[in-house]
Amino acid sequence: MEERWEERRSRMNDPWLRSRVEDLLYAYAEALDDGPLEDWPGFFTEQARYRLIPWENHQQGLPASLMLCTSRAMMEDRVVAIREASVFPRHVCRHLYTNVRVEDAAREGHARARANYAVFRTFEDGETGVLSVGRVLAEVVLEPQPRFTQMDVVYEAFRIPGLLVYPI
Amino acid sequence: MSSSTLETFWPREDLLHVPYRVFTDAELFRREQERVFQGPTWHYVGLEAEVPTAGSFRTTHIGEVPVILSRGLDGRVHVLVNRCAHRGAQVLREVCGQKKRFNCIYHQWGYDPDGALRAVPFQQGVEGHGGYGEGGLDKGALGLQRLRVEVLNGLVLATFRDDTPPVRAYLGGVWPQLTQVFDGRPLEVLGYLRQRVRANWKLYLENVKDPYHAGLLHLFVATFGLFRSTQRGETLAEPSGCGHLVSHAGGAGEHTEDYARQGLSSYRQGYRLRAPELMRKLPDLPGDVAVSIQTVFPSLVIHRISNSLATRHVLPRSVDEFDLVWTLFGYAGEPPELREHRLLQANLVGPSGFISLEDVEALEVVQRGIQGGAGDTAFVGLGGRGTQPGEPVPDLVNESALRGFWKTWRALMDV
Repeated sequence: MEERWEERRSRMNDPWLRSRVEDLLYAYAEALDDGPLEDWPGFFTEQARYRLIPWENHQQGLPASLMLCTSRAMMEDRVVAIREASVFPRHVCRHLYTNVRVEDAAREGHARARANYAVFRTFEDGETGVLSVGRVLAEVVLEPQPRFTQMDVVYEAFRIPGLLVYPI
Repeated sequence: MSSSTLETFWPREDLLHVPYRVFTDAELFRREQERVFQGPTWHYVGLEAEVPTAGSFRTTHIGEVPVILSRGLDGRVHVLVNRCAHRGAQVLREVCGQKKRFNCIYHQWGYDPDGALRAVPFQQGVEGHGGYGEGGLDKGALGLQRLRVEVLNGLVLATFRDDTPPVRAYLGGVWPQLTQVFDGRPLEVLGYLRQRVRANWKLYLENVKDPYHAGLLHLFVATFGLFRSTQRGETLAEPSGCGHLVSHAGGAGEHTEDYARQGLSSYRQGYRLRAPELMRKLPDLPGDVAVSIQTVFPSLVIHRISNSLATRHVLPRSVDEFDLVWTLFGYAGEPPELREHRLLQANLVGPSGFISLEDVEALEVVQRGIQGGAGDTAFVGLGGRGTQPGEPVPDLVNESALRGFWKTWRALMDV
């Protein structure tokens, strides 16, 4: 069960902590939207886990993801595969993050964060559409500089419009 | 649109040219619903593991028809048309769930999970007025339409017709391959991936029956040396045209010079995965199979790609759009490291898959390219003229299975 808001509020009101995590999320979005894509893995620690999960699976407790990286090396492989070994229509994405909430994690020096997101996709012919809307559930290590140790992106669309190339 | 009629637009003797009209003509799409999807054909509905207990259900479609996969209170698996016997409303609106009674929201007609009609509010009217009167409504004769079902080692198939041959005969020569994956062990569903594709559904069936594109379009496999068109493999089309298999053996390391000689951009040297464990293959099913793609006409694909296992369900929505649903699975109670590896290799498939992402792009560029070209045709003459039913074709540079697919489709469609 989700924790009730009254129980959470006391722990989620540290503006300093929140601004550090927000900065990380915004820089992350910039790397994905404006590039270079090669910067994307650098937002994670070496052993970090990244998952892009259909809401359907998340709700039903099914473990499969659309993308799963269990290390930064796998994220680097994903970048090389996109750059060198994938065929798809050229497009740009634009991430919007909002409702960012941050609290101390049980692990010393870590924070837990959640945010809502929307990603728009524009193809070369100028057609813009919503690629994905959902939630980011992440854990961040703060020192020496903030990095994600875990990120679950739960997307809510029942089906992907066409294909999904870049991580969210 | 070409002016020739549905009876004449495709000369009977021509197996080498596919008129583009088959992908763009709404009239053909209508005819397919009746003759292919409600014809003497078997349709994938789901896996038995998706309805584990009495009252569990899942909703899906056969062609355009909404259907329910359910497990009755007696424990048997049923496939029902999801359409209330009263006024046609979809009875179940959820993707999946568990209910003892399936109630229509509109007027609360209630059905058992096997489709039997049990409850009709105010059947006898109110205080002697209205209602259906004595003998005016026979609940036993109504109910949700029940389709003929066969469950094959966990795979649930349904047909609208009584004269469809039994599944085993329908699948013919690809039956042994199918039972390698569906070997009788209980399955565990690992999750779903779904995508909507702006192309005619038959382009997808052609795609999975086409080994020619695999090493050419899918740069990932060629770049990372996992599969090449020069590799050992076979294509097997079943004489009924309803089953079909393309498989590649392991060991892609040879014959790279053939790629270099042909100047193909899809093979590049010098790339190595930093996390090569992605492509590791753990001991799993019998046979030296790197990739096997089986199709069951008209709407099911079963893949075995390294350790990734899935059904792919093709759901046509209109003449130029279909949904593709990937149901990823493993076996109940298998070793955790094998289960984890199947989850990792989900990266290879689906709407973001390293070796499936570009199929959608290929289909959509065909659908766009053929607009306004209804009188024009595709050429599927690679590897001869025939369809070689029943004999394995020992290479991956042929289009015999595409010809076989069209032969089956044409016979059903009478075009």
